[in-house]
Amino acid sequence: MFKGFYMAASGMLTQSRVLNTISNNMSNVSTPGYKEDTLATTTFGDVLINRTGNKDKSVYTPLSSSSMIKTADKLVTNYSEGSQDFTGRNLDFAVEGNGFYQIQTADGQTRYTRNGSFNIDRDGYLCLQHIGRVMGENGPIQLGTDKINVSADGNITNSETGQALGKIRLVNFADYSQLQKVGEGMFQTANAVTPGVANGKIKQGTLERSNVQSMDEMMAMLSSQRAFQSASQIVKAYDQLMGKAVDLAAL
Amino acid sequence: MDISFYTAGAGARAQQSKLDVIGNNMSNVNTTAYKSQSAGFADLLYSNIRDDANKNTQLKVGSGVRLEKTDSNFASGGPQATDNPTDYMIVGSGFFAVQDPGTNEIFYTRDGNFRRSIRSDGNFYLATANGELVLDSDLKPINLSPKKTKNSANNSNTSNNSKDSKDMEEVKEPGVFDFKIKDGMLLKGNNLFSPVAKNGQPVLQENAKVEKGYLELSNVEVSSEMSKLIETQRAYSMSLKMIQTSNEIEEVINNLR
Repeated sequence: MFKGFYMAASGMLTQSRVLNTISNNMSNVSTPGYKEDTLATTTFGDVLINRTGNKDKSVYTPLSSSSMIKTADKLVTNYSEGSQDFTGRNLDFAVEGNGFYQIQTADGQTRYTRNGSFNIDRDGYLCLQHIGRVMGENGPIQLGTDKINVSADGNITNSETGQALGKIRLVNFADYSQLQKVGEGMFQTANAVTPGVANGKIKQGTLERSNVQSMDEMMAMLSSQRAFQSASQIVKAYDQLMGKAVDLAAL
Repeated sequence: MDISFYTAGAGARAQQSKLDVIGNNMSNVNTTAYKSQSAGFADLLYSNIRDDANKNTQLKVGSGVRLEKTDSNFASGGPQATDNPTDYMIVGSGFFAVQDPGTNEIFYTRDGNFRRSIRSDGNFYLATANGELVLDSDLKPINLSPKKTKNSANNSNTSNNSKDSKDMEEVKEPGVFDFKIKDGMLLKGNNLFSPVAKNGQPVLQENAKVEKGYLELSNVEVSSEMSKLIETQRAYSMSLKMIQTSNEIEEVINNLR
């Protein structure tokens, strides 16, 4: 059987997975704090091609290697900073520079995010809606009011009385590859990691836009589509060849 | 089937909802004391391409986006002089309390476009354009009819222009109430807000400044809504382009043989 048939099919499958990722990027072109993904692909089941002697099979000359299958390897997230969008809402915060907000979910888990479009929950805590409370330096931050000012280092004060209400914690990671996306703009670490200190500055009334570049996504979409079509042509060509081989029997 | 189809569909749908929000803001560009809304998005779940759902792998695929929330921007709108003595504008933070006469439910509004409204007891009360009674600082309806005769009420016209100092004392001003937390207040339409549990109890603002003869303008900024509109439309088109591409991919698959 023709092995190239399966190679081409694996190319089609991989390109359709690449398109899934591109589609997700495109959908999230205006999601605050979203980080663009790229599906990295790899070869799989590489084999060496050797020339052997006619009778004596023990003597062979390596010719080249051939990869049998192309496959998705891992999702690589681009952590570059998105541009800032001035919203004027006093519960919107953008991080300028590195750093993630630390969120404590309702079931006590720790998540990280760059989406700073916060709300206030029913007990007066600063929260990310439907996710959990925003962690401060001393646990969740109970505000009790939304008339707040936030300084660049994350200190929250009541804008009417000047009372200090807490400090937003920003954390950073030495190696971003430990982070994994879990949806809703959240990242989690696979293993327990003690995050380091971030040097980002907090800007109130501003949101970080998605870092998806629509032009890049369009180009990637088109090239992926064409690669898919090329692979499909190869599949078709193999099909025709196989058809010819089958027709031989009719002679 | 290819999930890129549905992912892009979710994207287009979310952008469509954002267009709805922007459209509503733009229609309310001249609504008294309208507070502009903003749409917030969040990406959807990521699932493993190869492994079980609960395994932690580096190989994931996302499934689109959804409209997570809409927030109200409570920034003040500009003042508009109307010279109508029953028009009020709150300078700074706060709301007027108004009561639905049917259900006695109290709503909060910044729209001070009030008028005199006659009730079944024969007295004139300060009311909103929809007939909700405006409440004073003690949460009582404001009776505009002087205690004397109806004739003098017509002559004096309004308490503001009244020469009769006794009438002036009778008429109370609308109370201004504020909430510690305004985030998440329910929009009831007709410029009314309704507090939810987390907003806490309304707090009377003793020192609130209320301007008479002014109305608060909408805080919608057309230029920023316009740029958001263009951005959203382009993002919408891009999602549709992706749907089209996914469709072509399916077509290629169907034409394999």
